[in-house]
Amino acid sequence: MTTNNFRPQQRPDSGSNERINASEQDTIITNPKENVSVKDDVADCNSPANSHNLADSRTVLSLQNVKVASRLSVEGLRAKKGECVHIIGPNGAGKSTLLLTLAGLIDADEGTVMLLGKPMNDWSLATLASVRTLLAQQSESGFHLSVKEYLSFYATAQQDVLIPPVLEKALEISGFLNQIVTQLSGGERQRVEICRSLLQIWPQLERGEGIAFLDEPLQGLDIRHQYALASLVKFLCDKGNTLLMTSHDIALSANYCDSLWLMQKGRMVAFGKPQEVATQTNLESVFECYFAISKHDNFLEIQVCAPISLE
Amino acid sequence: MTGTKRTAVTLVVITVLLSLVIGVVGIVGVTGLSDTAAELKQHIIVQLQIPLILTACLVGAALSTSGATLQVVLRNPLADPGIIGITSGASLVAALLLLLTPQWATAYLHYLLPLGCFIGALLSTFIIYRLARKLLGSSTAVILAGIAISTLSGAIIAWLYMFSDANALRNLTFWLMGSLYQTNWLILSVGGPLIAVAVALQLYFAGDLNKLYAGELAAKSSGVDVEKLTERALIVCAIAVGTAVSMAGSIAFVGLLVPHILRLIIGHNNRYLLPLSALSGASLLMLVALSSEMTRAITLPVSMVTATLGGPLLIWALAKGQIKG
Repeated sequence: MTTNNFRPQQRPDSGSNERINASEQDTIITNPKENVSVKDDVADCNSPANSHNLADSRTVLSLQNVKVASRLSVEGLRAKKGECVHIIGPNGAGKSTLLLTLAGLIDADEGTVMLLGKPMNDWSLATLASVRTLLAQQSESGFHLSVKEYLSFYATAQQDVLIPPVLEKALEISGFLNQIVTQLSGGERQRVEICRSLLQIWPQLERGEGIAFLDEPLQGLDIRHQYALASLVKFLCDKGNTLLMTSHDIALSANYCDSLWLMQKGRMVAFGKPQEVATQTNLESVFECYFAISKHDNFLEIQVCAPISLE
Repeated sequence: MTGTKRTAVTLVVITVLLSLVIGVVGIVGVTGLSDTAAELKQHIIVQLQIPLILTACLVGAALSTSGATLQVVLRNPLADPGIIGITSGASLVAALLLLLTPQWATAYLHYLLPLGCFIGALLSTFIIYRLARKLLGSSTAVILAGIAISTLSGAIIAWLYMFSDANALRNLTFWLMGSLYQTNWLILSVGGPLIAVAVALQLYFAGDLNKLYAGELAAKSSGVDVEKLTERALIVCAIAVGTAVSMAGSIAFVGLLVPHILRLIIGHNNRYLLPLSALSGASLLMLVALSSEMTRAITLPVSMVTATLGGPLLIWALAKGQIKG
C-alpha cells in the first residue's frame, strides 16, 4: 500500500503533533499480528480448557465456529454483560447476518451460538422475545396506522407511559405520536422503529438485563439524533444491558463503544478495544481507502482522506 | 383512544341490534300475521326466512373477518377474498362439482360442496400468497394477480356454461353472482359450525397479527412464528371463505368494505378490528338480505348490492393514496 501519495487534511485548530501521519506509524497504529489481546480472545474461545469461560455468568452471548451459508464464518466471539459493541465493516461484510444469527432469527449451519449460557436451539421464539430485541434494517408497513397505535402493539403490557422518559429524551418522538407511520420522514420513521424495538424488552432494559441488536440504527438520523442514539446505547449498557449495533460511522462508533468488531467478507478481522481495532492498518485494508487517525486524550479522531479515484 | 373505541363498539352493537329488530319486523311485515294459511306462513318463516337471515350473518362475518385477516397477512390493505380471486377459485371448484358429480353422489353434495370450495379457496390462496411473497411491497401487483385468477376462473366457468344443460346453468349463475336464497337448514348445519370455528380462530390470531404490522423480522423478533402464523391464518381464511362460497356463491367487496371503514373509525388493533368486522359484516349482509326482502324485488343478487357499495370505495381508496403500488 502506498501511503506517500496522500496527505491528511489539516484542520486549523487541531493539535498537529497529536495527529498521526500515515508515514509515521506509532503506538496507536498497531499491526494485527502484534495485537495480543485480539489473538488471545480468539484462543480463549477455541481452547477446550477455557470453555468454561463461555458459561461464565458475565458472558451474555457467545459464538463458536459459526458458519451461515457463504455469508458468515466466525471462529469465536463473545459479549459480556453490560458491553456496548459496535460492528463495522464494508457493505456485504456479514454484519446483519451476524446480528440475525446472534438474535436467533437465522439458524447457523455449523457451530454453536449461546445466549445466557443456553444454546440457541433450546430457546423458543416466545421466550427469546422477552430477553432480546432486534431492530431490522427494513421494515415495511403499508397500513396507515398512527405512531401511537403502532408502538402500542410492541410495548409490553401495562406501562404507565407509552414512551419512557429516557427514550423520549434521545429519540424525541412524542411530537408525532398522532401522525401516520407511513407519512413520516425517513429519519423520523427510523426513530420510531428504534423506539419500537426497545419497547419490546423495556422492563428488562430498565432492570439492566436486556440484550438488544440494532442493525444500522443511525441510518437516516440527523447528526444530533445520531449522537443522541449513540449516547442512549451507551447509557443502556452502563445500566448492565448488552447492546450490539452495526454502523457505518467509524469515527462515532470508535468513541461510543466498549468493543469494536471489524468485519470483512463474512469474517471477523479484528475485535477488542476500539483503539486496538480502529488502527490505520486494519481500517485501510478492510475499507480500501486511506485513513488519518489521531488521538486526543480519550477521543479518537478518524478521518477518511483521498477516497477512491474515479478515473 | 379508549373513548373512540367505546364509541365504535357501541355504534356497532347498536347496528347489530337494529338489524335484528329490522329483521324481525321485516319478516313479520312481509309475511303478515293474518289467520288464513297461518301454517304456510310459519313454514315460510322457519324454512326460508330464518335460514336466509342466518346465512347472511354467517357469510357476512366469514367474508369480512377473512378480509381483515388477509389484509394483514398479505400486508396489503386491498386484499379482499373476492378481489384477489379466492372466492372465484372456490366458485370454480363448486361449478365443476355441480356439473361433474355423478348421479349417485348428489345426495352428498351438501358435504362435498363446502369441501370442494375449501380446496378451491385454498389453491387460489396458495397461488396468491406465493405471488404476494414474490411481489412483496407492491400492493397493486397482488391485485393484478388476483384479477388474473378471477378472470381465468370466470373463463373456465363460461366454458362449462356452454356444455351444461338448463338446470345446471341456473346453478352456475348462482355461483357467479352470489345469492343468499339457495340456503336451507341442512346447508346451515354443515356451514354454520365451520364458519363459527374459522372466525373464532381468526380472533385468536389477533394479537400475533398486530405484530405483523412492522414486518416479518420485527414480528419474529417479538416472538411470533411468522411462517406458522401465515400458514394457519391462510388455511383458516380458506375454510371461512370456501364455506361462505359454498353457501352463497361469490360475494365481492364485503371483505374490503367492512374492515376498511372500521379501520378509519377504531384503528388497526386486530383485537377489536376482527370481532367488530365479524359483527359488522354480519349486519351488512343481513341488511342487504332484508332490503331485498322488503322491496319484494325478485331475489336481488347480493353481489350486485355489495359491489355497488364497495366499488366506489375501492376507487376512492386508490385515488386517496391509501394504497400504494
